[in-house]
Amino acid sequence: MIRALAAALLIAALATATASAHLERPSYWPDPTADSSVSPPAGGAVPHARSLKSAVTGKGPGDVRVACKRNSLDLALASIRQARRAGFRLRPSQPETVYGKRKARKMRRINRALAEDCEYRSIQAAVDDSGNNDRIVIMPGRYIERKSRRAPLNDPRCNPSMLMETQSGAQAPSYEYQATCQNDQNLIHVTGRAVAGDPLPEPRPDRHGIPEEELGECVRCNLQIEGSGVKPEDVILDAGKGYENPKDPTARPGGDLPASECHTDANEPSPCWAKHVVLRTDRSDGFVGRNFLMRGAREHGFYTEETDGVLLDRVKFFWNADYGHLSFTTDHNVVQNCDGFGSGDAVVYPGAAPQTGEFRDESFYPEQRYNTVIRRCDLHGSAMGYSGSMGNSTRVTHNNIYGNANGLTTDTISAGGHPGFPADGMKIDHNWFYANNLDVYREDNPFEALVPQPVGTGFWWAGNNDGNFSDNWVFDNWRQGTMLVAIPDAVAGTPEGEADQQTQCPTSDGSLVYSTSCANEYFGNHMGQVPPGFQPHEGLDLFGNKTSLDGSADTAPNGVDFWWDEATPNTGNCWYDNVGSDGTRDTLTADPPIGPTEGESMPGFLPENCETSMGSAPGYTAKAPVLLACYGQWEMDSLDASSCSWWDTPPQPDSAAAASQRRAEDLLEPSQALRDWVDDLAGEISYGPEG
Amino acid sequence: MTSRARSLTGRKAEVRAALAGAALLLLIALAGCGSDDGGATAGDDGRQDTVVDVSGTEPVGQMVAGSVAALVTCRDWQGADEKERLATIADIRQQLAPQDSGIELPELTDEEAAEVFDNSCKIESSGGFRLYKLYAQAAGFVTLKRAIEPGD
Repeated sequence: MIRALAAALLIAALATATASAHLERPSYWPDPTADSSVSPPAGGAVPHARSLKSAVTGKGPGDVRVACKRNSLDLALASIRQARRAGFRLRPSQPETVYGKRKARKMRRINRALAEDCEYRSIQAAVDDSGNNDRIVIMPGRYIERKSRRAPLNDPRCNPSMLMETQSGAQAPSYEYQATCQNDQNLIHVTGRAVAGDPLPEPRPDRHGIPEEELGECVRCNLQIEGSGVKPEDVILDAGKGYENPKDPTARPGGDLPASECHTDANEPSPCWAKHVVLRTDRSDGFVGRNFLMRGAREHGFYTEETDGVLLDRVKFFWNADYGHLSFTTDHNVVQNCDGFGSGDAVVYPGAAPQTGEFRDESFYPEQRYNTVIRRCDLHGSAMGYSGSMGNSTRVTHNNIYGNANGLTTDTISAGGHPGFPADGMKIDHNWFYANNLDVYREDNPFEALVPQPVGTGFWWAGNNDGNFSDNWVFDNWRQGTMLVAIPDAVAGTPEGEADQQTQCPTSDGSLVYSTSCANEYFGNHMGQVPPGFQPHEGLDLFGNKTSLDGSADTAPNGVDFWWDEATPNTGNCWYDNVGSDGTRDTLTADPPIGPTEGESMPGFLPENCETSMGSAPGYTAKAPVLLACYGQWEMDSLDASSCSWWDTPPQPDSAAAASQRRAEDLLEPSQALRDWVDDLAGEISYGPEG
Repeated sequence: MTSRARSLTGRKAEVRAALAGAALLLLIALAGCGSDDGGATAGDDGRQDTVVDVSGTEPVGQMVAGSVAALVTCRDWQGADEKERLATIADIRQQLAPQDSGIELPELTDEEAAEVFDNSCKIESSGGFRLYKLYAQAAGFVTLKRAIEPGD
């Protein structure tokens, strides 16, 4: 029995390497209804941004505070001139925007008026003086927040007295800790609600709603922070140091120092980072952040937790060592028109997103809906463009995801502090995934990868249910365009809080043994085809990323378009109405292969009929050795590893080198011990009709 | 929902029946893991960790709010002595060891964790790898490893 269990574990354990979760205090999904104790109510919906002009006219609720540098107006006027003469790009993949006369005149007028109102040099000081419905306008310049930088890490005012016990019995900073010692880790901190009381002695298993005992009244709800420049880079919120030219928005913390020299222990200051987080907003319902750049954090650029209602618009995340953006247990959450690179994990990470999908608690979430939307962003130049453990009911749409080791990964690994098992209801549509071939494991990579990822992958789902991957263009990813891998519950770990009582996997009823990786649909996608009008753009080859996209061809094959592990217990996964490089089904590439009959699910082929789709024991068995060889080498010397090529950029598809590599992997021979395990798997865990 | 929309209802009963046996096997196996050896905690399963007194020894890596688990990397591991390594493993294990019931993920013994970190951290460019992520990944493998190498 133990062997059968372990065999099941081993295959799916491969996917645990996608886990990019972080450690956090026990967190709760906020009440999704609007808090009407403030007017206008906070939360209950994605907040609307107030116009920059209204900051000058005084229209709308709340007070306006202006932060500036001595030369802010000069910087603003120069940026406006530049926008008028030469234009600017909001994202590298997008065309230039050129200001007309009227727009330039309006921006000059607004910035001159703001300069006269400026009373703050520090954003944190402006935040501290703000209340509900207020807004802070930041004029162009670089804000390093000297006072925040001087605040000690592990401030004895809060540590250890304000640590709280996590689900594991370990300690984590409580809300009170963050609110009291707000610059301990953060360059700028927004405390959205008052500290009401102590956290529960033990976390409540039901994570719906922040416990009343510790939920204070709104003190900075509906806060808006925005830059007054032409573009996000005009206002730099900077947690980094050691730049060669700090005024250059793309400058790297630490200058030319090797990435490895940025990391120091607690007793030695880092030459690259001054703070762990650039901007953290906690329980800050109705928060709007717009038009600025967050740069140079030891961990994350933007971080929000237990918040209902967040809009980030026209924001950038450069050189944040872990995540550019991290939202956690946050609802009514939108990130749009963003751009980020230089993260060792992912540019954006909506983790532990609320359970607003098919099997939600309808008394808490009456409507099925997407709680988080990432749209119109360039996610690039990082280990991953997007990742998100327990990213329930998130939507990723109309983004350009390129130049990473792996474009997008979500997983259902239950890392400490991540409620919401199993993740379900994600929609990924109308995105372009291309040229995700960045070798982040080479010695001279300018940032350090935090996790192992298979270089050359467009998109990897590890353990999601009820997913929708549709109408995307996936091209020039040299290992695989998309990848779907199952994760048994035993590998996913102990769920944080209560697990769903019902899942899309039939096996879940009652037992919750194999409750992930079912009912994921892929349709309407263009694979290996370059979209009409696509032009190579800045950032595509950032950090030496390899690409075949030189504008000369209308096809750019992926290593393989669709890859599925064929996990035997999984049902309802299907791939239909997709087209390959010539615009037809005939040129799709897949593992298992495309079937002979369109619209059918046949043993040994990629399922196209959702109703009859099941995994395949022989297919699952065959894939195990290569997968295991790749992951096993990180964990156990005893496993075969010689033929794994995942940690380098693969050869360009259709090249002789690619064919040679495939041959080598085909010849990979697992040890007898491994073969026995895989045989056990096929023999003992066989579900339904033999695939 | 398209014409190909899932309609698993009719098939669920059939599949559920087929799966029930296998699910039961897994549950029994899980129970077996817990009942025979007390939950596969560090030092269980007949594995003998060398007893090293690490009291008073600080784990390596940057301490944030009482723990190094979130930030400790392969680089820190490589620079640590034996006591520091054991203290570091203990810190990570505590952060990743859920106490409430549900689906139990085995804990790694000190030796197993050390082996994982040693192997992972000798790979080129692994200096920034977070140890807690490696630990969590390895926990999925550990049952297999113990069976393949029963004498370990």
